[in-house]
Amino acid sequence: MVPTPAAHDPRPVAPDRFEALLEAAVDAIVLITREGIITRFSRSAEKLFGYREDEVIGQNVNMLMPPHERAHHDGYLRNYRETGEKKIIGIGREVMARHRDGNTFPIELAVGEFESQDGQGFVGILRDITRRKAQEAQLTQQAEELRLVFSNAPMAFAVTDPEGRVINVNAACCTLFGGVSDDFLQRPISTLMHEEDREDGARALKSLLAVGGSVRRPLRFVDRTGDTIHTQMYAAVGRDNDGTPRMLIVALMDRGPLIRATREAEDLRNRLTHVGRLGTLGEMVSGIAHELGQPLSAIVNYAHASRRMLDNDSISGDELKEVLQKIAAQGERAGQVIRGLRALLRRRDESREALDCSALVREVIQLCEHDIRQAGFELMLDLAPDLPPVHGDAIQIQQVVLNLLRNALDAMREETRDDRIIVTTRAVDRDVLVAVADGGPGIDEQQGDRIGEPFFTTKEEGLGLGLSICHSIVSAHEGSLRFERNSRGGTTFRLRLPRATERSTHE
Amino acid sequence: MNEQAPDLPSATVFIVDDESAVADSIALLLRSVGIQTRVFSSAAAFLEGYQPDQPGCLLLDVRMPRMSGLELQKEITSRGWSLPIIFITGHGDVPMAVEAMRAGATDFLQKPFNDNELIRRVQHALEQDAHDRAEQTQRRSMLEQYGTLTAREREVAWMLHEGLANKAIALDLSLSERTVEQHRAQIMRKMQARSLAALVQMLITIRQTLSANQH
Ligand SMILES: Nc1ncnc2c1ncn2[C@@H]1O[C@H](COP(=O)(O)OP(=O)(O)O)[C@@H](O)[C@H]1O
Ligand SMILES: [Mg+2]
Repeated sequence: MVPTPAAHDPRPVAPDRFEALLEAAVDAIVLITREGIITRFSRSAEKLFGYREDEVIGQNVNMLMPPHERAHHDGYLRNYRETGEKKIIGIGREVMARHRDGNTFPIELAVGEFESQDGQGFVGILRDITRRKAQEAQLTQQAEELRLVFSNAPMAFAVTDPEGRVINVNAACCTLFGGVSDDFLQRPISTLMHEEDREDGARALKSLLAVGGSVRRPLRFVDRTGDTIHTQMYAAVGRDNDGTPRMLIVALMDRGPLIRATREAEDLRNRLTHVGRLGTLGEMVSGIAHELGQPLSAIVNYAHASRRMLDNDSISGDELKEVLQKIAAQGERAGQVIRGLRALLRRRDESREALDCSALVREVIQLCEHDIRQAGFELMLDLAPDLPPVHGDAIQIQQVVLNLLRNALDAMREETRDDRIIVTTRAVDRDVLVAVADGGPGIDEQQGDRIGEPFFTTKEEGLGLGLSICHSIVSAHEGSLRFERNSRGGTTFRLRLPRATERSTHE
Repeated sequence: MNEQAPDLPSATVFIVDDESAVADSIALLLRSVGIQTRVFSSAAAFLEGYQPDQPGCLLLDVRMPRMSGLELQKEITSRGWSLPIIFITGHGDVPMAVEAMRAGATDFLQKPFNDNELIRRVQHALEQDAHDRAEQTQRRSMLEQYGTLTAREREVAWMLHEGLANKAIALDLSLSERTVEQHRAQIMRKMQARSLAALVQMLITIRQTLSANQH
């Protein structure tokens, strides 16, 4: 093993300045002849390469290079001797060096030419740049990672210069706008904005540059096909170390899906509110009963009055005619109330669509589940998952189901033979069946025929309109509504609606 | 019971209902049995058009826009008008009907009502009103008659009311028995009393009325 030079190695003090320099320099210094033979090897060179000076003096300097470089070095020297063409002298470059232990490492090499009484030669000053190289590599890697983050970010990014001209966009941005990055470059970002939002957006970015901070606002853009893109725009300024604005960073979140979802939620809410309105059928019907009660009691009074007057001969033909006319007018008025009621039940935009009865039932349940539980009853659902669609008006069908559920609850409050309400949906033949089975007292044989007649009710607060409304809805849907006694002693109402045909769903 | 003076207006059923058809048909029904009616379409119209000396009764819809039946009832009471009130209530208005009865309503009819029922209740209310008014008239004339008595006659009258005999009165007031007899005859004439018992009855009523008026 060759001993490595130690710091305490006795060595005569350098006789002149050059020697002192060689000894003190932090960088390694190697002197070679014009032919490349090492003549001096400084102390730090010893440290850097792991050779003692006496081991390298007289050797070709290429021993300090990785094997594949060695061969070239003699050639470089020869070339310089012959042509005088300086490839490295006074310039310096990064090259690889080889340690005594065989490891190679990066160095920065500066080469100078000298002449002394000993003759001509070159001086090489070498600095280990392993660390710097590693840092550089790390920076490069970070930059690469940042680039990847930027280009693969799941949100649209655009970077502009301080004037607002696009200098970079990411893939999500291209996707959002439907283009490639070249379509954007150098375009003022405001030209991508929706006409109506352009002024606003441009102003926001401008004031961002002036004032700093960040911007966050909904803003519309226009994609390549001219369609509006609803976004939430986030923007911030990228600044130098000295605070000079270098770029605007604009991130766009596509609000399209959110808006669509909100719209759907809104729609559902409207429907539910509507169902809710029908849900308070009792109240509504009591209003209607009042409305109907007026003309009906007028009719009754007029009729009785005329009968009495006829009885005692105190009415003339003309007078009677007048009263009959009044009766007719009141009858018509009652008819109008009924028509109004029908219109009320119809949604403004009466829609016929393909409907999943299980889903409809699930929605309706939300409206009365609480009442049922509150009354101490259990609600059991047996809803078929893949029902064929029926064709109709969702709200109306839901209203029928709701009435059946309300009646079931009323019946069970009156008498409970079983505390379960069971709601079933099923495909049966060419129909879809919705069954509501209660554990109430069942329906009296004698009353059976009258059930569903308008104003037939056995309830103190009842109005007897629920089932007649149900029947008119069901018949408008070409379905049927029947009831029967069930095994638990209660009543089962069966609503059957025809499956949607190909033709009807595509109307 | 006293006969009504011929110049007094005859009994009328005042119908107050915002529902003109209902009011009109009820009016016709009542007219068919010879009852006079007057229809008002609102509480305000009634307050405007009714004279307190008009006998009859009020058929009042509890539910009306602006001033409700119950509010009109309060107003009538506070004006001191005495007119029997029959409330007409609809479906689910039972609590209102109860409140109306508590506040002194004569009766209430729940819709739908049948014609006999209505007529019967109305006739009953009219009788009650006639009775009330007759009593009131009587009381008023009694007071007037009482007002024509002299101080001495009143003194004698109250002593009679206490059950004193002529002799005792004469002694008490240092009058001759004959003078007392003359006073007594005068009192009976002025008060139009047919008997001593009738006079005593009148005096009881007068005392009640006077003390009620003092409150
Ligand atoms: N599930 C049921 N069990 C027993 N009776 C019922 C049931 N559903 C309806 N009925 C009877 O039918 C009548 C009419 O019902 P409906 O038309 O909904 O009016 P309402 O509920 O106002 O009475 C009820 O009063 C009741 O007597
Ligand atoms: Mg019902």
